[in-house]
Amino acid sequence: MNVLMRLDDVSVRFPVGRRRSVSAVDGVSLDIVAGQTLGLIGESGSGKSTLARAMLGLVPAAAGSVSWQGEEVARMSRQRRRDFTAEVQMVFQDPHSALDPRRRVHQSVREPLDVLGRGARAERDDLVRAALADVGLPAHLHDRYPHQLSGGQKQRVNIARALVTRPRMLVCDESVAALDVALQAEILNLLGDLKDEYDLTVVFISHDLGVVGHIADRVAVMYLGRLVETAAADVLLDAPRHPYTEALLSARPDVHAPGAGDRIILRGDVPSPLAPPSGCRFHPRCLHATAACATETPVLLPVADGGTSACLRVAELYGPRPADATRSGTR
Amino acid sequence: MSGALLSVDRLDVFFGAYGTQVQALHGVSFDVAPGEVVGLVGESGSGKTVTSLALMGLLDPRTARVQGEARLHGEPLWDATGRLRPHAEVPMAMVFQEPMTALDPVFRIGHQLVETLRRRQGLNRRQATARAAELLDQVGIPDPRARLRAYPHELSGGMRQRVVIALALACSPRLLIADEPTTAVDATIQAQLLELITGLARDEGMGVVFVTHDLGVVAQMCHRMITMYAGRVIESGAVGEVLARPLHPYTSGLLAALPDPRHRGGRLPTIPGAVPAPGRTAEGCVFAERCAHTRPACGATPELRPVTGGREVRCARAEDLQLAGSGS
Repeated sequence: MNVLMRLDDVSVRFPVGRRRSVSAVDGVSLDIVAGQTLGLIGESGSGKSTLARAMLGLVPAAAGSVSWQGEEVARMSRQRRRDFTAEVQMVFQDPHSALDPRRRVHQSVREPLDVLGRGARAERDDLVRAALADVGLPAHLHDRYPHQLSGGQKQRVNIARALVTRPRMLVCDESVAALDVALQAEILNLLGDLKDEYDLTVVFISHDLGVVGHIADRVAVMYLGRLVETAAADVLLDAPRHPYTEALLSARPDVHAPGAGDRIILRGDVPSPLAPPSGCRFHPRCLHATAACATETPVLLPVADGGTSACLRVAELYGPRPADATRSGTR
Repeated sequence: MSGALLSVDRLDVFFGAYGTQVQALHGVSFDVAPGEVVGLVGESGSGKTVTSLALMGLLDPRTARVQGEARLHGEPLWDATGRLRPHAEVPMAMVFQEPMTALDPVFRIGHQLVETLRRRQGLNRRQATARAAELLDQVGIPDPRARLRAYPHELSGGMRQRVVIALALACSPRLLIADEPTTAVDATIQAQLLELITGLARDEGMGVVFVTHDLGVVAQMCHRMITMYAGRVIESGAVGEVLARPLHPYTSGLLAALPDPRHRGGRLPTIPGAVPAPGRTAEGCVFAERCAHTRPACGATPELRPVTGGREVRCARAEDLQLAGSGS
């Protein structure tokens, strides 16, 4: 397996007031394998968007490291960092606010090339036209302003802008959350096509398990800044091995299986990341919490079917861990 | 239908000045029984929010013209100027999508609840404060007495939406109109709120109009569903039946476009084109240009017509088509 990006024990902290800080991401280790689509799932405050920004080097890691093809991003030279920027691109959630309202579509899409200083003007314009054609935006719309486009068309423009530098990895942060279901299906199909065409590795961030389950090969679940479970998508949807994942799956209103079984309704709210609970951060809401869960911090350890889970009671609740696996071998 | 709590009869809404006006709703009719949760489903621009705002008398009479009738317990909802009549006569309330904008940021939530209770229920300050704490408790807010002193910004999104629901329940409405009340909250919180609203319908016999674009939510909590498209009702019926065997190609298309984890990867069926802009007048079925089943018969404007099983559909070909539903 060719690891394209490796996150090693990455923490991101933001200062809040005097000498205090909030850990938005806390000790996350994750490998992103070339050609894979990794789904990153979590509720608001789980740190999934912050982790995405850390992947792109948009926020500095307070601890740990992000490596791109073996090279630590934070230590890259200026020139290497420019290359990295071209190779890893992002598509944001709100298609409207991600575009400059005073720029025409083709200007917005050309901007990354202008910034990177790639080629002559005419070449750039060709690349822009090609990228816009690839996302299926008809040529007569290339001169329009964002407000003249529909939500789906705007999101196509955002994707074109991310693709125009010919990236190897695309990070999509809730890129279909603001769209109606029919449009969402169109954009998901488009991302699938582009992944093949551009030979992309995709990190797909979403709060919607249905969407992630559809598009991702592998899924990582975050809760309050920490990874709680990773697994192949079909394994995770079928047999979750963390109580939080189980609750998320159960809470999902599913049109294909309405009222199936008893729904797990979690008590309480997601706690504030400013004062995360001790021990396992999920323990105050967990249906299976014991006294130990409040004091002991679970680490992400291998479970069956090549997944990992951070739950003290995982063996008891979901069956024994594989004996021969080691942590570094299966993360 | 007798025994209906809410009955809406041929509701039309026009926006804009005469001459340039566009029609946003076209003869929307439906009933809600006591204790019944009715889902109003459709994409952006389908008219579901305009329907709920019209019912609540919240459309500005200077820019919107409402025609048709709506009655709660047989009493008309609106006075002669189109405003909602007093709560004592038509006990209904609304929960909005965005809880932060539905609450006043400069007042403590206790103040907002107490003000409503004193004005509407004629309670004194002490009674109103006690009742406010009761309401917060009812919607599942821990430590309600202390929470009364909180400002909206001090609460999480899920808590805020509970407060908005508590405000809506303050005057014991018989009908609740909920416009996408869980769209802005997380999955585990959504599950809590849906349970809360379903419980109120079941235990208090409150009727609910639940506006949503999420068919999963409809499947989970609604008894009946109404699919809207371009300001028209195009299908209605019991949720289980409509989802299992939709009669309108649009309902079927919405279902097919939902990612289903059991069929991972692959292409999702889409609905080509977009919702037509309001005001565009064309002969025939409004969905025809996006429909995969269009025939010459679709050139005639279809009426919403009853079919078996208490269902209604606005499609000339409903009986000929075998459309895919959920789980297929």
